[in-house]
Amino acid sequence: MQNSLKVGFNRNGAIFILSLLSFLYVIPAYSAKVFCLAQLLPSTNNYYNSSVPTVDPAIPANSFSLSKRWNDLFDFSSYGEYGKERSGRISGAFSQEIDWQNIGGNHTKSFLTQGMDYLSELHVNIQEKLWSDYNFESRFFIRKTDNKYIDPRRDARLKEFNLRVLNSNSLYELGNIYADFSQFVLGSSLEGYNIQIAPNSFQKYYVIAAREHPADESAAKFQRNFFGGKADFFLFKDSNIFSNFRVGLQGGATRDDGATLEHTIYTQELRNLVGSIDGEISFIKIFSLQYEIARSGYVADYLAQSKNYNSGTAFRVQPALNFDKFSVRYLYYYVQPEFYTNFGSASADKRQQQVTVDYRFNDKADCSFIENYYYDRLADSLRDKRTVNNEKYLNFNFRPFTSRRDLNLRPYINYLSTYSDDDRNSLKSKTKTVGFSVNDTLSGKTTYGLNYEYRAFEDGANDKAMSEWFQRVGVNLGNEQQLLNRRLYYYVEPSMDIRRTKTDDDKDINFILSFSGQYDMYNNLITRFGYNLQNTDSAVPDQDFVNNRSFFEFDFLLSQKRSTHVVFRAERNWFKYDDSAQDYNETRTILKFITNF
Amino acid sequence: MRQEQSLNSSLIFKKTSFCRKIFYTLLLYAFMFIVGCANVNSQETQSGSYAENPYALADSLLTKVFSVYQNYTRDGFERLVSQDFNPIRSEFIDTVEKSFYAGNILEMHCFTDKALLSSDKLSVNFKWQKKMLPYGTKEVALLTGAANFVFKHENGSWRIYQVSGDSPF
Repeated sequence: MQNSLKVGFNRNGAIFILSLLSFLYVIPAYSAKVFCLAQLLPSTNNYYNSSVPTVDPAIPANSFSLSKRWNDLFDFSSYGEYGKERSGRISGAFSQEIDWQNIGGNHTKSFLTQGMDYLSELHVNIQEKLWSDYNFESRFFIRKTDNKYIDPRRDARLKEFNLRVLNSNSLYELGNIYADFSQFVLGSSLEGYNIQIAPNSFQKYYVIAAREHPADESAAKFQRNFFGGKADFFLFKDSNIFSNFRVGLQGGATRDDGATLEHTIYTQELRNLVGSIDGEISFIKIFSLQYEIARSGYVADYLAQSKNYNSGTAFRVQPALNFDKFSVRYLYYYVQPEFYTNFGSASADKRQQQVTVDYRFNDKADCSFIENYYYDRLADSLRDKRTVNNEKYLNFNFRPFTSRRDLNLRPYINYLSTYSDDDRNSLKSKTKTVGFSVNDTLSGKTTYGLNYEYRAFEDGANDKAMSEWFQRVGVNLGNEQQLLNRRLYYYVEPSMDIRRTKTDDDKDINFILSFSGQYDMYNNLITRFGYNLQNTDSAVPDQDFVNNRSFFEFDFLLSQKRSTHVVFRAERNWFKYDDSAQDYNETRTILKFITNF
Repeated sequence: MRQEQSLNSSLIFKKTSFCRKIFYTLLLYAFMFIVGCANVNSQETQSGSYAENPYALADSLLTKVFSVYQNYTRDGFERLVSQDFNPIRSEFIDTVEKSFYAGNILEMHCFTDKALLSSDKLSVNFKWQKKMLPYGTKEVALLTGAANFVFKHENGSWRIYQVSGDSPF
């Protein structure tokens, strides 16, 4: 145990030291270059627009002294007032919750645990302006709880940690990252390094070295690492024909680190290599195309005597035509059974063709139609039968009155046919889903709506034994008004489901009533309340139940500026079944403190 | 006794390890301070609330997804799923529909573990709880799992782009 901790510490320590060294050597060397390029080239690749706005050329060159940086960073009093002269800041949010829970009846039917639960969460963001147009950002999130469903460990846990240095053309990132190359190669949450560099508007490069998870002795899993790179080229930038012409080359290797655990008969060392070419081609008008072709190699256990090496190909292409009132998009998707991507996303052993047509009649009406056909058991598949799915979806969207744009009618129909090529056609079925919804707003204060859905599942095999038919109908009403010069909002939504099956003449009837609301008692005190009733009359004897859930909440606003709240909430849940051995009730009171800083 | 000693030393080691991590972090920040004192022409740091706290966005999106799922209609859920959903969009929606029509859903809860925001995607790791009474059974089923949803920002809305792990549907 200690050894494993030691290994963990050494690795983490090494990561910090390496990050320090990487910043020491990489950034000063690169910053000058980027600065020069920034002078010469307009920055059209603002890839990090979610985290960094564009440079304002009107800002004069600033020099921040160490004392100003220190004062700015720890100036919590000016929360929410961040001028351009501010060199940096620390902000975040803190919340603490104490729950008291009491359970009666069958305890095994409750997610709660008898007694008290605590939950504390701290989010911290640090931002600092660096040289040139570089910024430093860091974020971490710490949680401590004794609620086993939220976290099985009771100590303070660092749930997320991220450090980054970036400007509009480059990013150096360490910690928890969302790594995203292309569909088939990489799209996953990892821990490690992420570097993105765009030397100019024509090219961009990515390098990622990270792990998915550390070694897990109890699950007999080695640490799983990913190493990969990507190069994007943006061609024909000033063309009169193309608005976007991107070609991307990417590759990634997934490798279990066999040194992180002792080898046993349960451990397996996975190796997976995926490379692909992807891109988008968009003409100025009418036509666009997305595509990717990938090849993978895969060994489930590199340590096994028989390594059983697999390789496969995946391909997708999506051309689209866009006119004023009409657009059509076609998708062809093909993934061989042997194709495997650990960090990308692919449905192996699948061929799919999909056509999507959108048509706008006028300002008051438009429609969308999707035809989707897909099947498995391609060549070299290990499946014993082929399953074919053919699906059609049609929906309309009407806004019939120009003067009442909120009045919206949406009818839709979906038809799914499934069958297999085995002797008994054992998967043969048809699923029809038809419905509509109407929603409207009256004078901005009242909303109302109606929805209906019919679903028929017709089992074509097994003597239709699994067939079932549903009808669901619901209405809703929301209203905001003044009560004693204070705002009152309430929302009520009753609905009913009726289920009929092939094997039973009787029906399941579910009635659901939801009611919730909010009343602003004072400027700094809000009350919230809700009630939910679920009442089922089951077709099967002794299976009726009633579930009542309700809550009441006082929300005291202590500071508008920092959004500081103290919330007191009481909840009651009461479940009563025909079989009284299943009955349970839950009472819960929650005291919560939340503030930003 | 020996176990207790081992536990104590393990705890001490954990504390030391934590302190060292904090030390390295502070060292890194100190370094950033020092190099940042050069003559600069910095651009504005971001102040958008979602970039600072993607957890708020993640919580609101998960709440919306589970709320629509618990009061499922095909059209309502279709609108939550990106047209670029991968691998196969309609297969995912059919799975969700089958899951909803499999029984009475009594409760659903989720707890966000990690929310990572990139330029147009939000990756959310979370744990979920689902209590349901499947049709034809007498036992209330308590289901739990850990899943990863990736949301994609398109046409002004965040939509489900990818689902992995233990799907709550």
